[in-house]
Amino acid sequence: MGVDQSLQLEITLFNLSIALYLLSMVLYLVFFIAKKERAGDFGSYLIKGGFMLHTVALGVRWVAAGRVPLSNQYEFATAFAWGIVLCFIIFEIKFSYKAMGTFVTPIAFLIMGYAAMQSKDIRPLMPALQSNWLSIHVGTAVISYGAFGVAAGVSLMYLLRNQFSNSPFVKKHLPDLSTLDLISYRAIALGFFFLTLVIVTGAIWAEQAWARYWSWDPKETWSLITWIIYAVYLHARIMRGWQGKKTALFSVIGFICVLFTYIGVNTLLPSIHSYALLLPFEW
Amino acid sequence: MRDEKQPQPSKMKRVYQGIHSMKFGMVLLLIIGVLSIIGTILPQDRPLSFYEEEYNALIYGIIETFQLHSVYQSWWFIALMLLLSVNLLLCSIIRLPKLLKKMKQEPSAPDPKEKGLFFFDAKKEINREAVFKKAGFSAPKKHSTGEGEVYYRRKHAVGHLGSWFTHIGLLVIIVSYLVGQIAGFETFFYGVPGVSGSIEDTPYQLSIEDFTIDYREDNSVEQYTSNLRVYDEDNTMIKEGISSVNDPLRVEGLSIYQNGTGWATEMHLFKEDEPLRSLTLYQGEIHVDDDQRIAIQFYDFYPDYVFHQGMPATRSPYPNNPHLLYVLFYEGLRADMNVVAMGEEVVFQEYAFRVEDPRQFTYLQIVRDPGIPGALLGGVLLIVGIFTAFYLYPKTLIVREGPKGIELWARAPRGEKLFHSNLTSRLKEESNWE
Repeated sequence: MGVDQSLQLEITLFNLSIALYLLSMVLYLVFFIAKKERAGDFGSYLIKGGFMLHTVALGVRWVAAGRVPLSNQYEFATAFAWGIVLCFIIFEIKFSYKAMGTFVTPIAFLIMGYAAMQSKDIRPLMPALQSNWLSIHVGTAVISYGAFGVAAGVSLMYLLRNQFSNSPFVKKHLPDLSTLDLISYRAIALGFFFLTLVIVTGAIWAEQAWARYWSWDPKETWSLITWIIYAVYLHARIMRGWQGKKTALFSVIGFICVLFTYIGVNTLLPSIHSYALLLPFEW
Repeated sequence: MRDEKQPQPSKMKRVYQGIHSMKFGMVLLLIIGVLSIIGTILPQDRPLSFYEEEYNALIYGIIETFQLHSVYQSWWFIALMLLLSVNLLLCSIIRLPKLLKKMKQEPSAPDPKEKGLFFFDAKKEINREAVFKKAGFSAPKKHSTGEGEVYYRRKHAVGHLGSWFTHIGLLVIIVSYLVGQIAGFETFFYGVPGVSGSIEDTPYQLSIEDFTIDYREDNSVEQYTSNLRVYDEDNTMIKEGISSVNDPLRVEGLSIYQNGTGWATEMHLFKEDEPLRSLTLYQGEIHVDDDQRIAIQFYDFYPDYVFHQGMPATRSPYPNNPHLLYVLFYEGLRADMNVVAMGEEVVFQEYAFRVEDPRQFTYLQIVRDPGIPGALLGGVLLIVGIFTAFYLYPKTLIVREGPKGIELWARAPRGEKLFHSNLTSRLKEESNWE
């Protein structure tokens, strides 16, 4: 199969997975709003089906590109959404709360939507990106960001549950606050561990490629800011007077930082991660 | 880090407690995070004149006073990092004996006051060994109390040290970074093949033997490679090797990075038809000569020149039709700017010049950072610490056999709920328990 055919197949699989994620999101909403248990079950099946197609799409691109598909905005966006869905499936199986889908699938769908708007061309890598550290650095970011996406969705559930604590509907359909706090904590613990790996592997790679393991590049700095937000979350959770609503807010703020680190820095701030111009000379 | 209150401590003690408290560490982290944003928005490390031109007097005053043009090297940012280091160091020193005690301590009987302790279930009869095995614990130890026999086993005691390793890792990284900033150095070296010279601030000489650029079919660059030789002060070659992107040449604590490239040409300058100077002129350079009466700037280069839509451009990266864009200054004023072909002569007043033999030069970055091994160690400690803290949380399983029956207790200070659900799923098939 040629590169063009592979690319066409990948785009088809990508579109199918978007469609399944969208359907799954709608079904989870129906489950949550109309109290239809079956809709939740179907939503769960569909997101798993979409995830399988999405995985195949990434695999096809990997083979077609001859490298790990994690090196441009489209490739990272689709992998980011894949990471969110993977973490969601794991957490849904582990904690068995379908209502999570109502809050997490829209985040995954939005990231997929962003991916759909990016160029899907396969381009050869510039020399600085030809490193095994790329796969490790960006691969760990996919898991980290995915886990933070799940945590943000669950923290939104927490805030909703907290705000409408007397509503019988909310009481019936959302897990209790301590359970939501636990799920969010576990997701952030996973994300934080992987974010630390992202930063450390990025530093090792930067030392090889750009001569400095830490140069306060905007992407690095925003990764550090994200790390600090989640570090504060993890400490605040064990401090008197900080648990609950405040830590849930930190989780949401942390995910906003994640999104800014990924999209905002690349588009708004000059950074070596934008791979535009490194030196006054051609590079 | 800790968050404890002592009854009526002295002022000094309160300050000391504040400095090593968790709350202080968190506030410092948040301040560092928020102030770091400034450095991502405001252009960094430009000359102060840049800020004076770009911003109004008030903002320029703030930038200058607080060194916002160089946030991460400013006195207040370094002070914040040092304060965080002190906080991390003190809390790590204070916590360690307590954590080690916790690790070694083998609490046997359930103490209702203890955090994370919970009663799981009670039975009349159990297969004790099977219960511990099924729950993922080794064979239990026995402890006799006045109320009967207690069987217990701990797991993941090292988990107590997880956050300690994390804090130490962070401390080691900060200190290593500061060491690198103080004791490290950076310099640059560029030239066409055949050029050699001393590496600034070192006793070493560097010689560029060759420089190649590998292109793909679509004219994108596959790799830049410099062949280099390094000589010591006795002119003895101590290293020969290549430096390419992602693969620096390492020698005697120095790392030589393939950092950039550009074009260079041989330039011959004449005055009143007499040769004045011949030299290699590099892209971006300005050559000033004849008591500053004449200056020629190598502004840009078009290896495969074409005049496209009113602008000079290049069709490919290959030197099929090389042209140079120059700017000529005469008696301090810009007098001429044009594109010139190789070998073509440009005449201005009593001066003339021509350029030829275009070649690509290599731009190397040379760095020594003694903080790297420490930073790597800190990174490893950080990762190990976080993994240990989150995934190896300490837990204890306790079976108390007394006149009232057999009770199963469990203790997991950091994961009570998860441990409970884990025990429920593990023990539900245990016939002697369920």
